[in-house]
Amino acid sequence: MTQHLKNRGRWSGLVLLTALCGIPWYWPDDNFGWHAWLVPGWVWVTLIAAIALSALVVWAALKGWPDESVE
Amino acid sequence: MQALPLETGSLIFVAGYLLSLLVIGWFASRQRQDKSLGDYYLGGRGMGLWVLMLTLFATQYSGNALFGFTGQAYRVGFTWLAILHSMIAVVAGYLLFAPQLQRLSRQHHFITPNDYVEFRFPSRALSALVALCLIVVLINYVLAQLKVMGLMVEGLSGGQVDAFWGVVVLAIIMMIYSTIGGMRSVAWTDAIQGAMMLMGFVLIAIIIERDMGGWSPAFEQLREIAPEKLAPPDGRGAVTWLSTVILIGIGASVYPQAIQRIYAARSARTLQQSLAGMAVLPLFAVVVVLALGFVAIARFPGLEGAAADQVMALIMRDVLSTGWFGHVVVTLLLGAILAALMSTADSALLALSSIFAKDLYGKYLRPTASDAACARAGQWCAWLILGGLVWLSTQENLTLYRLFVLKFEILLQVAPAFYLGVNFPSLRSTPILLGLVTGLCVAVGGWSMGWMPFGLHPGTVGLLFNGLMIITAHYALSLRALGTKVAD
Repeated sequence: MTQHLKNRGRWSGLVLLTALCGIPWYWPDDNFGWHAWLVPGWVWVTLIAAIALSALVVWAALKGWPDESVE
Repeated sequence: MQALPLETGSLIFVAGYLLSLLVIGWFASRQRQDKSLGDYYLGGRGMGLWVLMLTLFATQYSGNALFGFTGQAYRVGFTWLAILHSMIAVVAGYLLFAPQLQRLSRQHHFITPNDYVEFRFPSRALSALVALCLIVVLINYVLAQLKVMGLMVEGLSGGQVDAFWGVVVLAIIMMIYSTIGGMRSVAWTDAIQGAMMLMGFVLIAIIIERDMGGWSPAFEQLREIAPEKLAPPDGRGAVTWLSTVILIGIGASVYPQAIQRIYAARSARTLQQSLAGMAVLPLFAVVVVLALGFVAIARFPGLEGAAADQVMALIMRDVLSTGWFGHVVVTLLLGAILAALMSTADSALLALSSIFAKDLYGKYLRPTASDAACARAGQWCAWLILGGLVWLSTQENLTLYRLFVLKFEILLQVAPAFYLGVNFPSLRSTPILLGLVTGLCVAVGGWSMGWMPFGLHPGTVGLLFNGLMIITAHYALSLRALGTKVAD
């Protein structure tokens, strides 16, 4: 697998997909002890996670694209 | 859809917008360089950054984004935030196969998604099955858009114009500009429609703050009326979250019309930058649409099932009653909704037409036909299919979300051919074919029975079986080949 997934974009894609799928498993019942403004804490954490993952996708798209000369 | 008491000015704006689409179609037809299928279906493979990004955006965010997403947010509450992660996952999914696919498409002049499948896995049975799956998905996709168009026209006219005739007029306009201009016309109108949709999302944010009492009181009210809709997902909910991200993230990345846009990109750099832009858009577009659904829970309590898909119309009705600014906002929003519906339907129809022209007509029905003859056959096919779907759109009785999910159940089973095809050179066609058949049986069978084991969508379970079958068949074939080698 490593041999064929040799560019950062593909690795990043895999890691990001896993992270996006795995996020709700970590929401505690007490909303991180955070009774926040407008909506519960877990919603804010979800939104922050989405922003972080979106930034990673942008990075992976711009910097992780395979080098055609190598491929 | 609820009747909206629109003024003449609003209707003139909508008519002007529809007319402008025809003008763009005519202009695009003048830009055609030759009569090849590549020029007609891929716009000569010269799509630049902004057009590519906006057409990808407009294609991916359909009528469901405005009606289905708000409806589902209303029904299930904040656990539907999974759709935000899913739309980001779509772009993460592209990263796993789009760079290689784009490079191959330039080298081997692919037109349809199936061209890649045939190139990579030379099996007639596999390519025929993939073509069939894509046709079913595209038909389902267009049907969902037509259904919303009908509801919208009926609502706009206060029930005076029948949904059927509304859909007929919109469908004819859509077909005229996509028939005369091909991908160029569809992409250019998509770019305008994408920009209108983005403007629509800004307006929604303004509506919530200005006309719905603001975000803070609305969420306070929501906390009192339906606290269960603010709760994080429980164990089963977390499984459904995971399943939704897989279903949409992987399924939507292999939309036939999206794959054709990968082929149509001017260069690898253009595609790279467009995908980077696509990764940011959900943070804005999806969040405001969901917020509208959440705010509507407090404002219009008691809607259930398919009725919840009407929250957008109910909100627009409320906004209209606030005066001249409300009329302007609703008029622009209507333009954005029409844009969302038409941009998705026209892209799907063009993809459908190309699959018929290239994969069926040019290959099986008339192998000696010229490119121009194939394109003409594809156009006729699109007109005929659209005619049937217009009729069907007024007969169906499924909620928008259910229609939305069905296409992903099937698309997800086709995804391994692309994802694994570009990443694993030793993989052969038999494991992919066996996996596809297994996955389809599980996914479609499960869907028809309404089966959701542990909160997983039938398509996700199908993908699991699909993957297991691919691995088993791949290693079984490898072992057999090794055995034969040793015996020799």
